Amino acid sequence: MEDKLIILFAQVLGVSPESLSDATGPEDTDEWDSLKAMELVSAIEEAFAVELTTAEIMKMRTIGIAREVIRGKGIDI
Amino acid sequence: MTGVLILGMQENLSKRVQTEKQEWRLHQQRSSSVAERASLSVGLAGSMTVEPLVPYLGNALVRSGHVPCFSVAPYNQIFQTCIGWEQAFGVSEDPPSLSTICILWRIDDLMADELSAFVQGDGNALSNALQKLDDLEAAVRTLRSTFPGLVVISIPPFPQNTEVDIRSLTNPQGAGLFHRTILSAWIDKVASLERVSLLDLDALQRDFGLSACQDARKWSLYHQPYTEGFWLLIGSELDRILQALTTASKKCIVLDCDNTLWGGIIGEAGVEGIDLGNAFPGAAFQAFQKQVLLLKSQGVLVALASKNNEEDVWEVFKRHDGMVLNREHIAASKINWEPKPQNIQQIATELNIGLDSLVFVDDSDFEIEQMKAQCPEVVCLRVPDDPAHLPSLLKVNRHFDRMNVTSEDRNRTEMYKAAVVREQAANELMSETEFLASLALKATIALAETQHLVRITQLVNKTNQFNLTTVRRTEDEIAALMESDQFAVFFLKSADRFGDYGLVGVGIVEISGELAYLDTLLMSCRVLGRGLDTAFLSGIASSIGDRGVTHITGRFIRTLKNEPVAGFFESHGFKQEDDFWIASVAKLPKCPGHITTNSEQESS
Repeated sequence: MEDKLIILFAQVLGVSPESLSDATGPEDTDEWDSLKAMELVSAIEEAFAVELTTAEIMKMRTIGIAREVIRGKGIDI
Repeated sequence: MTGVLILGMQENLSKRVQTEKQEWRLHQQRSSSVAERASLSVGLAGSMTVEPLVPYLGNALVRSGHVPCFSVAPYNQIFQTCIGWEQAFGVSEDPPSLSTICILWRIDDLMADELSAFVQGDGNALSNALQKLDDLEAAVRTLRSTFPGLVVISIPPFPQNTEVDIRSLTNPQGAGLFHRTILSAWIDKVASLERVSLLDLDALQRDFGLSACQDARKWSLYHQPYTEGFWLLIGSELDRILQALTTASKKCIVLDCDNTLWGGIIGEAGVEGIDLGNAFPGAAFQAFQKQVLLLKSQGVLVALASKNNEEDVWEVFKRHDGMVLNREHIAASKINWEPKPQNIQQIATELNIGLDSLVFVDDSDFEIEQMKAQCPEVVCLRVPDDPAHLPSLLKVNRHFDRMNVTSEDRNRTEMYKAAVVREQAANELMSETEFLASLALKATIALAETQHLVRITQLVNKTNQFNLTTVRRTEDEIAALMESDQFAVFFLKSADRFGDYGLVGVGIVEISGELAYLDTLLMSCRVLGRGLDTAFLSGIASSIGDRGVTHITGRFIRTLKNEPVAGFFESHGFKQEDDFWIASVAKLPKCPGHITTNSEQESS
């Protein structure tokens, strides 16, 4: 099954979806720098029509945490 | 509301920015997979994080026909970038592959302390800020003198600093005064720099709305102050500026009359019955006419193409007190029942300009579609169904934008109309020789000086028909040729009894010993057919002959447009040798008898 969030991260980070999992974070992904983090915020907000708070953005240190945050806004992913 | 109009309605913005980023990703994949060579390489620098601009500006440039690539300087290092742009953008080639540098700066980043002190009543704060502005000017001056490409820099937007709000616009100690002082000082400084273009970030912020353009979260986390929608607007504005700097602008606006210049149909409603005046909908048409008149004052030719009885239309021009345009503003008109594509071709012929220099405005889908089908070079603008949106039409479709408006531009309608009078005189009254003699043509041929640079650059970049080689050059490149001992840059000015045409010809010659190569020879098409080309060539030859040149060579590089000069060398006595033509300077034709030349200093 296609994981929309993984595909979104792969697209923004410019890496293959297979190399990503919910455990992936900036520490083990060179591409995930602060500019990409900023792009990810916009991409998530646009793709899921949600708005993230500053605290939520700061908390999202892995794809898994991002998934929890988005789910917390009533989005089923 | 220009900004919102450019972008479409606000609620679609989120969708739009998503699509834009997707498109940019696809463009990057495409261009990297075919190793496409970039046609426009842009360096971006900002006092804040500016990376989000890349996809929007990139897509806009792609739509304008470029293959763009980007390099972004390190965050908040605009001074370092100005002084060492090669390092900042990682440019190592010589000549540099970078063609454009855009710098975005804000008071919030560069002068936050001074602004804060100012609103708290510190009497020295403003002069401290102006001192910083001097430093910035010096840095940009350094950039301008070391970087050969285009330079665009922002006008600082109204500060978003949380200590100030929009109410302080009326407070004599408030941020409004601080901002206005910095802004006007900055505009003056940039104007004195020459060849630096301004991106009016302040106007864009006003259009978009101060709060709508802010993203406080990204500012806090990434020093990136703006929403994606606002970056989209900045991208489209920068694209517009770069288009104006790099492409020839349109020369003529061709207008329909009924439901374009006024509301209603003159043939049915009569002069008294059409909508044109102070109240809507007449006011919308009047506002549109005012914009057309403004374009005209900046050198755009205004023409009419209307299906009407001609006398009905002129009756409106003459009698309706709501008219802003009058008959003298119209350089050419075709008011008849013939198809408009045919009429517009005649207008182009009469004004001696290409179809691709025309913008056609009409309220009828039929006319627009027929024009697009038969004259695809013509840009077509459809009048909006709701007249309230008509005054926005030319604000959004900015085909006439140009870097500089020269005095030749302002007088253009008069000169073209003089040309029409001359053509009629030529047709009806006398033989060609008699006609030419009656013109009392004057030509001034001399070496170009700095004061001529703007006009020369304009001609070099937009002359299509009478142009032997069609070599395009930037202002900097031409300035360098003027400095060089090896090159000589000549201009031709011309006047006759109908009017003064100003600077209408450019010749660039490369001299090596006894041999000269005619690198560029071009003339504005409005002075063709009077022997001025022969006068110009003979003036150049006599000047370089004085420097010891005995032979002159040249090439005809064929384009789609320059057929008129295909026979230039042959008719001036040159002999062909492979791709080149050569002639002895002594044997070139002399200046025709009907032209008086003045090859010393120009006599304005």
